[in-house]
Amino acid sequence: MTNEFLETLGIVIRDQIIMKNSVEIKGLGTFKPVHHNQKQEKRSDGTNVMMPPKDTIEFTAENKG
Amino acid sequence: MHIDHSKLVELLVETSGLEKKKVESQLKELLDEIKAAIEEGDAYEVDGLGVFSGIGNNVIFIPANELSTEINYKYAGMEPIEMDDAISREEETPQESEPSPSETDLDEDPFAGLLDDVADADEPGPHTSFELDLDEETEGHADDDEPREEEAPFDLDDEKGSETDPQEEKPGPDKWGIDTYKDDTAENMFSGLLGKQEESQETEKESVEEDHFNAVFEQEGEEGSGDNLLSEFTEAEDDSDDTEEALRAELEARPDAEDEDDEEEFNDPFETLAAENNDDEDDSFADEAKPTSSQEKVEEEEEVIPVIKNLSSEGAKKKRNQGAEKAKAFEPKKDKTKVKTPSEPKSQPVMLWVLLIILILGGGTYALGYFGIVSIPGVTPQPQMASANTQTTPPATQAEETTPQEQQAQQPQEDSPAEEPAQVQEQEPASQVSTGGSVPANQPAYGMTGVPVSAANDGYTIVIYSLSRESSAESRRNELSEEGYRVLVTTVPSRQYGTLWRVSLGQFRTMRDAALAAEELESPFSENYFITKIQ
Repeated sequence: MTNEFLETLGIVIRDQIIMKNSVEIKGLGTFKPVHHNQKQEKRSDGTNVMMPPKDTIEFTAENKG
Repeated sequence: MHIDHSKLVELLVETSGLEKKKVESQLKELLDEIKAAIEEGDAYEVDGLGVFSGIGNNVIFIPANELSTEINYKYAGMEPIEMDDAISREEETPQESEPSPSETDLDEDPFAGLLDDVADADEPGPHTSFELDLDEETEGHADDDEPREEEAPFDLDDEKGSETDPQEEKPGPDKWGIDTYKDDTAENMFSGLLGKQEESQETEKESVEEDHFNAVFEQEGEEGSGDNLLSEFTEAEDDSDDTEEALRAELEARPDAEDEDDEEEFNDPFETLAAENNDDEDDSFADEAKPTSSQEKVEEEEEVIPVIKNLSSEGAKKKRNQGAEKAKAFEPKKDKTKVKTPSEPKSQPVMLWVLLIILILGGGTYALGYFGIVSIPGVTPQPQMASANTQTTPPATQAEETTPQEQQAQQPQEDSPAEEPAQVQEQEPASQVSTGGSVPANQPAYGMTGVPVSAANDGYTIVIYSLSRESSAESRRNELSEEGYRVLVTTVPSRQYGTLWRVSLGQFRTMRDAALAAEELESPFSENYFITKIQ
């Protein structure tokens, strides 16, 4: 396993997540993009903050449970 | 779209350029290491991807910061926005009926374009959540006492509010007259309508003030100051804020309007001169104007206007008095100016006479030279023939034949070809034309070619040679005659050069015919010739 392979793996997963594609790695799990709309949050100090939208990666293990 | 394991391998092959088996082997090796780490309770980090860790039987993945940032590249620059400032602003300004683009809306706008991506119906919309939160906040504030005071400003006593809150005090008509009882909050709520009311009230006040001034000016108008003055003053009252300085400025701007009716027309220019001239003249007559000081004027004005004193009327009186005094003061000035004018041009006639004499002498000299009485080079005209192209270059054969004296006589002829026609004119009576007697049958009377005829001597000819020797002229005649030209040889007596023999071509009825024929001459003759009347 080379560093080039690891780097390539990260690039491929990144690109597919950006394209709203889920990526499955057999024996490990699935990477799924999740979009979060903007929302208002209340901080601990009582201030209300409008959070910008964002995308996250949700990983689901294969052998869950 | 779902990328399964096989597609992932293909993508890795395409991206890395490695073989599929090698990619599969390396991927399997990675999975084994991750599983081994998780089984050992360790975390396994892949650079640029994230950290895999295990909690119990579950495997969790924490993406790397680089990956999280890169997948959110389209939201770059968007920061969390605190909403409390916007809410507090709205609460502080409850009288604003419409929340015209406040900062909250402006801040929401950047996110509004991104709401197109919203696909989850479960998540509430941003605006709805914001509104719900606002409601919750208002409910939460409802428990407190302070928001009630802010939300119910109408219940508070107006005087107390005006006394306690200095910011609500507003200068201007609010504290005047009928506006003192006005509700401040109502003013805020209906500021637009109150603006109109204020304007109407101000106009009423101005109308009342105008009535006072009109009463004053009507009296003045009856006393003889003209209707225009009244209208001007009323206009001034409309424009200005009934200040003394403004009225004085208006009166100073229009001093002549009052004097037009009282004074004659010839006084006006001197008033303008008095206004325009330097202050020295004004100071010279200021002593006369100073004795009538302001007190006397006030007394006179009081006599004129016994009831109401108005600065405008005082200013008008002052101006009128000053205008009259100035008019009186500048009356003798007219005499001074009239006296001064003739004394100025003392030295001018001498110069004019000198210039006039010079011009007369120069003109007379030029005239004498022009008419030939006195020969002045460059001025005396030298008579020239039409198309004055003289033949001045004698042929080489002629130069050889001529004597030294004849060459000396011929040289100036070349240098001054224009002198020849004058000499010709002087010696015309002595010239002779050697032509034949009768006209041949096949030859027209006039023309370039043929034999010269005496009947055509009343016309014109083209002179091409002027020779000092008759033999040379005869030789040219023979040569040209052999070529077919109609050749004429004439003798022209010259005082300076003796007798000249002219060799000319053709006989033409008019000079126009001769000129047309001369244009057809060949090279040596076409460059140097002149047309003359056959003698």
